[in-house]
Amino acid sequence: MFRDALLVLGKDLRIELRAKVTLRQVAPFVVTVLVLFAFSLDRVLVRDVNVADTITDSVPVAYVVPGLIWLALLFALLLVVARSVAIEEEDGAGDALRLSGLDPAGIFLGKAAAVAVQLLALEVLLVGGSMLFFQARLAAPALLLSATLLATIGLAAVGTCYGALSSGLRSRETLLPVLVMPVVAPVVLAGVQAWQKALSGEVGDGWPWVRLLMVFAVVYLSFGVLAYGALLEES
Amino acid sequence: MTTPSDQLPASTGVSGDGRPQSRIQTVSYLLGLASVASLVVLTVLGLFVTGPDEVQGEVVRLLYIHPATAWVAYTAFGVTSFAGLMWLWPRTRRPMWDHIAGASASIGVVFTGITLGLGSIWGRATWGSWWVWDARVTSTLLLFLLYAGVVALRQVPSSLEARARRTAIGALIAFLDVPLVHFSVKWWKTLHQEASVLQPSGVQVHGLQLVTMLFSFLSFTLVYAWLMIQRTRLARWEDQVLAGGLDAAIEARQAEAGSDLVGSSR
Amino acid sequence: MRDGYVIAGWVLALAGIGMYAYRTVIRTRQVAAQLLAIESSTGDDRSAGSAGPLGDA
Repeated sequence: MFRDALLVLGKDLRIELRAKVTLRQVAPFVVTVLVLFAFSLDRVLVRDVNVADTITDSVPVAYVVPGLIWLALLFALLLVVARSVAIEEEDGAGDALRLSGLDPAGIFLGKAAAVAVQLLALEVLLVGGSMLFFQARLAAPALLLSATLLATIGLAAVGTCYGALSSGLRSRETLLPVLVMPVVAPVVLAGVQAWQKALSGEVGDGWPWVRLLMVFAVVYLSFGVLAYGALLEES
Repeated sequence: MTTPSDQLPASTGVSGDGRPQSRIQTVSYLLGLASVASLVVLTVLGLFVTGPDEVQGEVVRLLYIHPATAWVAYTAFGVTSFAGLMWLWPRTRRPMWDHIAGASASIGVVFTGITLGLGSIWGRATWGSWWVWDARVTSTLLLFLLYAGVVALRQVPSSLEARARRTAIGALIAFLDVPLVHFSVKWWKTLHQEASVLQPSGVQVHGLQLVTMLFSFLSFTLVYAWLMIQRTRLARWEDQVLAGGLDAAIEARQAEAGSDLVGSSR
Repeated sequence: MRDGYVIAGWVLALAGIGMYAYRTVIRTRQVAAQLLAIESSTGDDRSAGSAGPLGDA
C-alpha cells in the first residue's frame, strides 16, 4: 500500500512541477486573499504609520492573523483538491489508474499526500505573507508546527475523499465547497485556537487543540484508506 | 393521507377499488392518523391546558416542540448514516437502503432547520438575541450544513448506483464529523448548560409540563415515522420512473428506427 | 395572553412540517401518475423494487 502511495505521490507532484498550476494560480490567489483581508479588516490589521490608531493598538494581531491564515488556506484547499481531481479526469487518466491494479488505499494516501505537500508550501507562503503584511510575530514553534502539520493532513485527507466523491460531476466546482467546508469546520476552529494560543503566549492551552487535530487526521486518513476503493468504483 | 388509490399504478400493490392492499399502506394510514391526532393533543396541551411557567412565563411553551424536533433531527441523521452503511456493505446492499438514507436526510434537514428556527426564537425571547454562538447552537448549525450537503449531493444527476454510493459515503463522512464538531465547538464555547435533552439551559420542568414535553417526543416521532414511509416510497417510485422512463425512451427510439428504415427507401 | 414568540415558534414548527408533508404527498401523486403513464406506454408491469434493465444493484 505504501509503495503504491509513493508512486502516486510522485506522479501527482511531478505533474504539478511540470504544469505549475499550484505555483502559478493558487499561490497568487492566496496572496491576493491576504491583500483582500487587509482591505476588509482595515484598521484592525492595517496600521497607518502617521496616525495614532486606537483600534489597531487594542486588537492584538495574534488573535486576528490565525483566522486569516486558516481561512485563506481553506480556500486554497478547495482549489488544490479540485486540481488533484482534474488531473485524473484528463484523457481518461482516472480509468488508467483504476485499471493499473494499484491498491486504492495507496492511491488515496498518495493523492492526499500530494495535496498535503502543496498545502504546506502554501502555508509557508501564507505565514510569510502575514509576517510581512501584518507584522505577525511567530512564537511557540512546536505548537505551531504540530498543529499546522496535523491540520494539513486532516484537510488533505477529507479533501481527497470528497474529491473522489465528486469526480466526473459537472457541478463539482460548487459541490466541493459546500461539502468540504462544514466538515472541516473543526479543523479551522482547532487550528485557529492553537495558533491564537501560540501567538499570544498561552501555549499550554493550545495543546488540547493539537490533540483534536490529530484525532481528526487519524479519523479521516483511516476512512479514506477504507473507503477509497468504493469511491473509485466506476459509476 | 393516502394517494387516491384508483390512480396508483399496479406496481404499488393497490387494488382498483381503493382498498389498501399492502400492510405498509395500512400502517402508513394509521400512522398518519396517529400523528395528526397526537399533534392536536400536543397543541391543546401545550398552548391551552398547561399554564405559563413561574420562572419563564409563556416561553416555556416552546419547550414542547424544540427538544422534540432536535431529537427527530439527530435520529434522522443517525438513520441516514446507518442506511448508508448498510448500502455500502456488499452483503446488505439493496436499493431500499438508499431510499431510506435519502428520505431520512431530507427529513433531517427540515427538522434541523425548524430546530434552529425555534432555538432562535427561544433565544430572542429568553436572552434577547436572535443568535448566540454557543456550543449546542453552533453544532446544530453545522449539522444542518453537513446534511444539506448530503441532500445536495443526491440532486446531482447520475446513475442510481453512483448516487447511492455518493450519498452513503457523504453521509458517513458527515457522521464521523459530528463528534469532532461537537467537541471542538464545546471546548470553544459553553453557554447552554449541562443539560440532558430533557432540560435544556438548566430549565426545570415538572408535572404537567414534563408530561407535555415527553408527549411531544412521542408525537414528533410518529410524524417522523409517517414522513419516512411516505418519503421512502416516493424515493423508490422516483427511481422507478427514472428506470422506466429510460426504458420507454429506448422502446420509442427503437420504434422510430423501425419506421425510419421503411421511410428511407425513398 | 400568548406570547408572540410562542405563537411564532409553534406556527414555524407546525406549518413547516405541514408544508413539507403536503409537498411530499403532492410529489407522490405526480410520480404515481408518471409511473402509470410509463407502465401503460411500455405495457410492462413493474413490481415495486425490482431491478430494471439498468441493473441498479
